[in-house]
Amino acid sequence: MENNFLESNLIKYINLSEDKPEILMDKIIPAGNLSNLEALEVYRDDYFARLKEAMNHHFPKTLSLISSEDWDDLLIDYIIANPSPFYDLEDYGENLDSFLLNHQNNLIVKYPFLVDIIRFEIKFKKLFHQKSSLGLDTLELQNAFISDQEICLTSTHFIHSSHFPIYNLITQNEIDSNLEDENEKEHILALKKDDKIYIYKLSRPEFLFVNFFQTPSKLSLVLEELEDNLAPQVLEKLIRLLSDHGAFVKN
Amino acid sequence: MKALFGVGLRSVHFHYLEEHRPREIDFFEVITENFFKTKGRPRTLLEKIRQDYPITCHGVSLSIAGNDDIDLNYLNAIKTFFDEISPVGVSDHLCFTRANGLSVHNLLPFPFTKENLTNLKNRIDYVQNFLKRPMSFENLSAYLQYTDSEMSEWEFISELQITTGCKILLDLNNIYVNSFNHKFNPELFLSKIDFKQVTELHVAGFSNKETFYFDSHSKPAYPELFELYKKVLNQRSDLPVLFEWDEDIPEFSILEDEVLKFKKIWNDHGK
Repeated sequence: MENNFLESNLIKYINLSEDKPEILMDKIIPAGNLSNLEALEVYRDDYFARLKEAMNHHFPKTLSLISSEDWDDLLIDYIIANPSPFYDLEDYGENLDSFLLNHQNNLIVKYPFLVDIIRFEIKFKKLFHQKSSLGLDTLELQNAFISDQEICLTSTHFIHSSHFPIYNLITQNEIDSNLEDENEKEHILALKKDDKIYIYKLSRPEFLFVNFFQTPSKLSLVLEELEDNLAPQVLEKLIRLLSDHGAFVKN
Repeated sequence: MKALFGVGLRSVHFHYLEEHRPREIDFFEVITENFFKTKGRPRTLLEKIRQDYPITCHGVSLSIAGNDDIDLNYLNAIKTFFDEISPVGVSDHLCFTRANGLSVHNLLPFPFTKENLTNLKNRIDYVQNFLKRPMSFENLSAYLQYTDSEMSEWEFISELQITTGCKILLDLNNIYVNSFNHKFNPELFLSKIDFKQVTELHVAGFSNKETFYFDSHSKPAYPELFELYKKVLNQRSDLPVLFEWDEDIPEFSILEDEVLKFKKIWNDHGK
């Protein structure tokens, strides 16, 4: 009973769920020449440092695109609002995008691309930890097309669409560039092969083509749906890119 | 009998280790929670490394001294991981890391009481039966102790060894840091340990924060640690030694240099 009380209150103090160190003060003997409160703060400081380090690791592009003060303030607010239920730190920060949308409107006004770049990085991290897969080779893919079998894309890819020029942001840290047409979206395809991740920009018809294969689909039906928006040589190049990365599997 | 000397497998060295097989290193330790879920590059490298070196798994989240129920999903995940990579040893810490379903991702000390001895015995039995393998548990560096403690840390660990047969991963740096912070003689600590039940030694560097020593794993080992290692060698000379460096991690050759310092002490001891 006493143990539960200690554990529960120490953890609540460390993660700032409750800031009542006085409950613990007469239960502890501090290390070295620390005061009781300073000893407790060693653990609290370490907790915040670990979670910040994890977030810096998960969101390196976001970190590089906004001011360090803004990033630090965001992390402190996020960490206080999101005590970790996890056993490891890989999934910590997975709802940073929704946290921003719900609680940090000022940051979104200052950095309109922020939610999109965070979503991109969440997808990127998931892909990083996926096992590289061996999809259909070119011959197998050709046969699947000829026999009009349903095929789909493996989990070792993601597509990402944004009203902001994410590709430039992630490849060149260019914050100033804007898409010319506000209604236009930028489409990105990320493919993983041999543990390396490759990022490509897609046109809207290319994106629509790839998007069809998120679920099992027949090439013939996809081409009908696309209504000739994709030039044959562009289509061939796109299919070759996907098959070179082993991105297709049979249903 | 020869002792083995190892270092932690850390992501900053992945590129180096993809191209090199360091000759001075006998084994690698992985932090279980850094590898048990990933199927990406870290796992690919681990699969390659384990073809050439023994691997040990060192966990940080079991919360063996806690009171939350041990999570079966977590246990299942680490069991699967251990079964897949066949480590030569698995370990975690004598601490709690969770309460009420929340983690602090830090190793928290607990009161050294008879009640906690019983709690630990039950939980260690449960975990080892579940994993179907023995585990070792590491002594902690702690920045606070509890007024409720009924015995010293070394008395508690000694009792734990006697009553549970539990294997101990002895962290010499933690003993040294605690001896400064909590004002005891580290040799007294060592004198109470049953070295037959020790499976491995951890060594590292700490940071002097002026008001206390912090177990930062961010520096070379201090000379005081070499002296403690020599004391251990008088008890047992075959224990594997793992050098830990987790903050401000330097290039791999510097880690090897640290390992060589302990190897030299081991070699000199044998002369």
